Amino acid sequence: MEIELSSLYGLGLYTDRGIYVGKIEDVSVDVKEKRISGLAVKDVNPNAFNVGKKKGVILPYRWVTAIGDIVLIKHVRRRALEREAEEEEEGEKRRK
Amino acid sequence: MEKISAQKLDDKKVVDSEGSEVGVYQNIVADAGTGMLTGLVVKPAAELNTSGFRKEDDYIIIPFDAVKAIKDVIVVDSEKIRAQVRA
Repeated sequence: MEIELSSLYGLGLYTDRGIYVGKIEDVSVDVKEKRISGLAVKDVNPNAFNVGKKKGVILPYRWVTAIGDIVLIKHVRRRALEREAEEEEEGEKRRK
Repeated sequence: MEKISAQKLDDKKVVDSEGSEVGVYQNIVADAGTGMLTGLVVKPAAELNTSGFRKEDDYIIIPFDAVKAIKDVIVVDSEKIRAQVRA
């Protein structure tokens, strides 16, 4: 199925176990690889994912399992999500 | 840095490899399953001859394979577009 990237903006993101994750704010694309690399999510549900004081999080596109009126991602344990976010944060610190 | 935010592409100029203006970026089409980018939706410039392009409503769709660079402008390969239209 083909989608236009702008049609994803504002869609709700849920895990395949029905847990609300957040709202899609932006799509990150990898120009060299010609593929979608991640989904930028805002209004993150603190029960699904602790983002602390950050505004949102970028989730890898490979977690996406379905796109329709909403977007589903694989259910991942909360710790796995937080680990990924920490890695992203550390990467940012290193760059600074 | 090859990863870019799709929202930041809004209103970016699209030019071809010969330097002529093609139009203004509108959207990207992707395959939902694989995440592969398949097309670039462009609002064509007024002086552009759109006969060689795939059209949808008022927009033209350029195969993403023809996209050479995305920086301050989006550069598309005019040779590749022509080849794909002929094929």
